[in-house]
Amino acid sequence: MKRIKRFQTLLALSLTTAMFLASCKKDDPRADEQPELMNYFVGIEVGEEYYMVPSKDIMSGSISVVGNGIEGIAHHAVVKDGYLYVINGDEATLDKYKITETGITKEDAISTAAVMSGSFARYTDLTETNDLLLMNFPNDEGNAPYAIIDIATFTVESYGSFKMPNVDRYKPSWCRAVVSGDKVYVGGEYGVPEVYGDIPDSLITIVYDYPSFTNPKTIISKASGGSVAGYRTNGSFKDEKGDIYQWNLRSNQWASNPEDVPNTPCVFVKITDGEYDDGYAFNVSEEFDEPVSIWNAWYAGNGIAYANVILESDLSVWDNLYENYGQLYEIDIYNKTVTKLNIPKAPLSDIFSLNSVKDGKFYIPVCVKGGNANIYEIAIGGGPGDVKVGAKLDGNNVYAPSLNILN
Amino acid sequence: MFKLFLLNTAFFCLLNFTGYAQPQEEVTVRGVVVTPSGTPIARASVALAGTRYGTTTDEQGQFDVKAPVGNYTLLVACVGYAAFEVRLHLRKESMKPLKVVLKESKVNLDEVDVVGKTQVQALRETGFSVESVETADLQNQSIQLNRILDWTPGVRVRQEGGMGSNYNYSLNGMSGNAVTFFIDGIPMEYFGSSYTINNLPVSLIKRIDVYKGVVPVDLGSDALGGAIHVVSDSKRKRFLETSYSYGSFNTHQAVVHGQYSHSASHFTTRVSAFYTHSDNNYNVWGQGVNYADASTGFKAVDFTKENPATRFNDQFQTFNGKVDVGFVDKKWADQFFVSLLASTQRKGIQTGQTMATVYGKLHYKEVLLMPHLSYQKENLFTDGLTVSLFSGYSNRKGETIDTAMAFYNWKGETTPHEQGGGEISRNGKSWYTLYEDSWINRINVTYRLPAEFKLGFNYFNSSAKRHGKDPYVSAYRVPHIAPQNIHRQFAGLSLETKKFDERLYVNTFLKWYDFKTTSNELEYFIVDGEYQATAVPIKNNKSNWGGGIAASYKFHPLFLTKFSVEQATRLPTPTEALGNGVLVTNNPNIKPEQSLNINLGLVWGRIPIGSQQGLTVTAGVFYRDTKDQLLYMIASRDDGIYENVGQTLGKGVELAMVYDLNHWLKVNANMTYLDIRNNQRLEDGVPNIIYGDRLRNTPYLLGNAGISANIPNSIQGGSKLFAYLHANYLHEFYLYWPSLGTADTKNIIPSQLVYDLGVGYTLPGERISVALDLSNVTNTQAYDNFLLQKPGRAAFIKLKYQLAYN
Repeated sequence: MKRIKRFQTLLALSLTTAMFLASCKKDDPRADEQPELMNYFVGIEVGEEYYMVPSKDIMSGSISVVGNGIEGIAHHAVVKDGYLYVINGDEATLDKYKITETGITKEDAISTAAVMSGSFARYTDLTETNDLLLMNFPNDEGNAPYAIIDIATFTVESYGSFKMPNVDRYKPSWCRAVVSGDKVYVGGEYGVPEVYGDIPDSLITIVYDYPSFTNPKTIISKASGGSVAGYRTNGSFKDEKGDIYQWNLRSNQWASNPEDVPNTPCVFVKITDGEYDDGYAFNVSEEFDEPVSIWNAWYAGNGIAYANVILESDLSVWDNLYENYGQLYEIDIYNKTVTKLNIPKAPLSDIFSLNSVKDGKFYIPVCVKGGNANIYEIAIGGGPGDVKVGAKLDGNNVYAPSLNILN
Repeated sequence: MFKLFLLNTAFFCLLNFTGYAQPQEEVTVRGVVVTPSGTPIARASVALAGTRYGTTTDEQGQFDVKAPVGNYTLLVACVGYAAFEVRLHLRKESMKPLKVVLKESKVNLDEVDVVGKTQVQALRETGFSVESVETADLQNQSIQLNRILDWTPGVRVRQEGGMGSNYNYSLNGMSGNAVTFFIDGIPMEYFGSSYTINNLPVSLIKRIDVYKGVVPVDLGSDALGGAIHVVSDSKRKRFLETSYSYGSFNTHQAVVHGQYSHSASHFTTRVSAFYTHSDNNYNVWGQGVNYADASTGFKAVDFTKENPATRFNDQFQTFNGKVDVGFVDKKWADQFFVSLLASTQRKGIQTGQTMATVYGKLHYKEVLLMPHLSYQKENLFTDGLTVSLFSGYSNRKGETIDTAMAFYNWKGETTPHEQGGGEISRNGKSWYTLYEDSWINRINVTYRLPAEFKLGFNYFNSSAKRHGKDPYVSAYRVPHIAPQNIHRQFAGLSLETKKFDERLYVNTFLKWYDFKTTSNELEYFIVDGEYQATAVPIKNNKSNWGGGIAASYKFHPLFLTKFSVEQATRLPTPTEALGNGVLVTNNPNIKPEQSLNINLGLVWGRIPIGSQQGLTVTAGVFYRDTKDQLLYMIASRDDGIYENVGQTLGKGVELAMVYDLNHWLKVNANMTYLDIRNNQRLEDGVPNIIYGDRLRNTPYLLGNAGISANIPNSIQGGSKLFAYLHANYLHEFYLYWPSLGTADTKNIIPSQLVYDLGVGYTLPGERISVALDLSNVTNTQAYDNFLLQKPGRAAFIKLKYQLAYN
């Protein structure tokens, strides 16, 4: 009996294996039946109008908003496990869209008005615990609203506000967080709001327990001054080793002139084990012949970040942020090198979310004012010329504030 | 049965094919039409049979008709009275005023041919594209002016909510501040936000002239897309009338309107006052009207028609009073008045830019005082010289009060404010006060030249200063804490003539516009170790020239053609340039809008159909080429900014028909189709993807149909019964550019058909009237703006009593 049973089991296993292998054959027509989901999501602004345009290809052809795209959403999106999560400002909701082979379909919505009481969700970030962290800046009292949404169940785990302390005479005005383990690191911009031009000569981060946002602890780096709250994108990111890196926004168009608070260059700094690592600072300004500022940086992995660098001499007025003065640089934060990429100058400072690393490539939309708009593919760590021009976006009056990829 | 009902009110049937002789010397026939008991009869028709000379009587029964010397038959007719007919010999010598006594009668006046020309008719026969809406039949009703104007071809009134809510006029597709409002020739923007076309009771209004595109010089200001001119109901003698209406949503409106004029000295005092209150607590539901709390897992759950939400912070209350003291009919002045306008307002602010954002306590208060002088004189110093002057000062204080420390939802429930902010202010409480001081001066001069020419000159000058304060907010966050100024000037010169026995009308004009703004931004400097704020002025100055021509020609007594063209400029308003400190931020680099407007129109009628019926057909086409169009751009969920956004090219057609049965029954219908497109081919030298797209958020297909009856002697002899039913259709349109995005995900303002009806009864003697109005009869979910629902079905009753009249 045992032998017969063993034989039957072996036979069953053999048949199953054979069927499985047969199903994997390349020429099996059923292999083509697997639905190919939309996997690229390009946020598009046309004036004051916003669209999220799904695409299956970002390296050839064109991605047009004419006749395509979901109206009303473009800036803050997260793609995870077959769903796209996006802040809907018109209806004060966080919308959940199912990604399909033809586009996205709205499935659910959480009222951000209810959980961000008296405020609104300025941005949403995916945490390492697969939560969505909604936040806004602190008010004059230093209270910043937040909500934590569990992605798996699409429910509100917790919400409320946390208090950011004053540091000496400086008050918090912007903030953005990155979660690491049971801590959340809230990079801050500090200053004296009544008086533009008075900022501390240091970088300030408040560390809280996560997800409770309790036990605030202020950590300070003297590597430079300015904001580590980011601009449109986060000012902090976590690398594969578990360290947190920050870049600072420091410009004559932001809070104060650098000469008002001297010795405050553009830097990358590191936080290890809950404290600033005073042994690490990458002075990016020293890599340039004239003063520069960073307006957005994105981490692509393996110590490589991409940053939008603008010459301070080009920023005589605020509106120049929207001119072709932004240059993308590859910054190796481990080896402390800066590489100018062979990508045209463009306004890159209003890119709100880029979750666009795939197969060792980093993708970014570049919309040259008065010129072409394209997706660019950059081989991470590949040098200045290892860049490809991808899909063409619509004309000049289109700006792409986000690109999210379903991996 | 119809023979029981007689002809009513003013009427114009160009039935006579009069010869077009060279002009002769004219004389004036004056008189009064009364009942046997001496009561004046208003709106009786007075005509010289077989000619085009005629008029209608005013509220005092008085009339005057100008005609060349000669022999005529004078015909006087009025609904409910037997027609009066008498031979009349007009001669150069002055004639005694006539007294015509009409006896009550139930005889049909079918056979009487009456020819005359009211102000409305005269206006329609100019070359301007103008609709004139007479309110006589509706003065007894409880109906908003906005609603009445919404029935006019080419007009769409976009209201954000109920009584007292913000509104926006679209005139042949030009909207926002491109449409300028005037009351008796003065721009209404200086009269505050209470004394507006939205709030003025219909009983205070005589008529409303709607100019589309091209605007005559005598209105004395810049206007790009057109102008709406409200003509108040001024009577010549003593009277006092009052009305009160009550209706849905706890809406009350009381109006007092009177005048005393001393017979000998001609000393005259006028008073008009009105009070309006509404809770505006109507139901809303659907997209954007949702609630979310722990019980729903914070998921947004929409309210439904069966389970709607009720607006709870939308109360509106205003009191307005205007007193004029002066003289009329003096040697030195036809009218001279010293006036004071005072108004107060309080209104709740229920929502943000859409119903998705709810406020529970946020509200606005305003107080306005406006002393002003007005002077008018015909034949000043010399025959044919008419001068009209206006000078006024306006002081306005507007307060936006945001002191609730709670967050509201559509259930009206509150949760503690996690951040300790107000409802729109995230930084604690806010009580923002905006002070505005304005000076307004206008002079209007016309001079009659030989050969039937008339020269007109108009100069308008205004300046406004704004500054703000907020005791709860850090100084650096208070808008307008440093004063900001705007100064605007307008001058116009026109030459007008009527030729070929008034078959040809031509008005050509030249306009000059100028504006200066000074916006102040605070910059901080360290002085003696302390930060001190210094206001750094940002100046902006622009001037423009414009001009145009309006002409009409009557090829046939029943067929009038009209043409007008203007290169127009509209200067930014104080709010567009300086912001309002709350929801609108300033734009120091703002530029004037400019537009080339062309209108072509024809009027055919009244075409007699048999002996009792008539049909009037009006058609028009227009062209608008607009540059630097100023549009309000939503900058965030709460605020926005006015920006020059580009070019549009608009074409459109409108058609209106009025059928009448002996003038007592009228059936009218009109439709308007607009084709307004983005006309900016390149942007920064690169093709614009929305070039040629239909203009977003702009209604483009609209129509109206209505029937009204004015039935005399229906219940009692001498009484009047008035009834109307009106349907208003709006075709759906996109909120954003139509070509962008996937069609089924686009936000739309849906198609809607809304019915209004009403009935009014005036007792014999016209002292007492009662009226019932029902709006949005079918309780349609109506929107003029995206996710801002308007009131559903509502009923109002109104009682009007004329206390004295002589």
